[in-house]
Amino acid sequence: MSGDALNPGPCSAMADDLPLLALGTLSGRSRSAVLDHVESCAHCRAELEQLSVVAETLQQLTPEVQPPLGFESRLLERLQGEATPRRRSRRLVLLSAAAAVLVVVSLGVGVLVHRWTAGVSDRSVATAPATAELTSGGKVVGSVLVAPGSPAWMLVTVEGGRWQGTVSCEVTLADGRVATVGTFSLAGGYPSWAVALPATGGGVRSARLIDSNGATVASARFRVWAPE
Amino acid sequence: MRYSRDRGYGHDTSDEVLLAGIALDDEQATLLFVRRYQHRLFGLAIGIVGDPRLAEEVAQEAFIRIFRHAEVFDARRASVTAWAFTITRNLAIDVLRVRRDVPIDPDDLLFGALASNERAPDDAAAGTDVLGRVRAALAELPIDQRRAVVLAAVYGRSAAEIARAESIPLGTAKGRIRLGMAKLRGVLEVEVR
Repeated sequence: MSGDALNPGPCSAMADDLPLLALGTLSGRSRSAVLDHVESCAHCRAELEQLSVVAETLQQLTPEVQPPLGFESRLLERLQGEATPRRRSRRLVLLSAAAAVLVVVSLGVGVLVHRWTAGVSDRSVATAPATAELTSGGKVVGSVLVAPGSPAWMLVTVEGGRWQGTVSCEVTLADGRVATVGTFSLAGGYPSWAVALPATGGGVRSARLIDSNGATVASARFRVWAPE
Repeated sequence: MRYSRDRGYGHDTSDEVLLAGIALDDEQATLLFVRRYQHRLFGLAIGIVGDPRLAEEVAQEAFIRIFRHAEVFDARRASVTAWAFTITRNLAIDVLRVRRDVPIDPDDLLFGALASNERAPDDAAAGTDVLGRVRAALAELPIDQRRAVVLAAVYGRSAAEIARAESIPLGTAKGRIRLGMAKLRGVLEVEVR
């Protein structure tokens, strides 16, 4: 931070506007000036991050309110109506009751995977994602979630700041095939990455992350997969 | 992002996992997300616009936007909760700007649950005490600072709009917001330690 009480620096000039920027109510030249300053001032950048957390939290203080009857079904109908080419053949309304059953089943039984149905159009409502620990050198460093569906998809999460650079993700399928499903960047923070899986041939046995030198940096093995 | 050893979708499935599923058209993830957030987002919408029918429009549009942008959500920049609330709040403010005829009394929120010292049930459910701390600190603010902060944070009013509404100089409005936000920010420092 530059400047002091006798000789106010640029940070002092930002004192009023920094909270306004965090609150999202600053515009025009003032906003540009603060953004420019924050870019080069670590102190004000940290201050802005804290104020932004306050601003976000304030929005969340409003009490929960029960929406009007039919809110959920109207929303789901609207989602179907607004289906994009990618968002095709949704059966949300029909799945509404089924998903409620799924929640109960998942919570009550601690289901791992009931039935792998990737590629099967009329999939069972009893399917559930499977999660495996992502380990490196014997330590848990994240998780890999594989969710059945059409398409089946996978979410890789790596705990923050462990690695930098780009890794590719390779999966071994239940039928023994090995496929590289994509690459992603491990920046700071808590990176996560999702990708649609190819036809899995019954499920996924394991996944591993490979660095640019071809070395395995972390791997995950599913204890239960694709029981037919 | 946190990961969980729990298997399967359920109440303890993280928002980020649900959002990743939504981005890939997973219907179950979509439905669970709606059920998890509909009371909270509708609560924010009706808190701002006041009218239940308008609030439903706002909340529904917020969900649509969240789903539309699920695949570009970046967990490193914001929590899913903060993102969802920001989308809803901005939509509600846009609606208010268009619908000047909707009577709004910010004091309903100011003196209601928003600044109550009582801990709301969802504070604990959020997994941290930050909500409760900020709520308590807000209740402790001098009323002029509390009004200014809430008008800006929830209703999206600019300092100039607050100055006009409160019949005070612009510098005074900015000062109230700065002082109020500084006190609330202090609560986070306690949390970090």
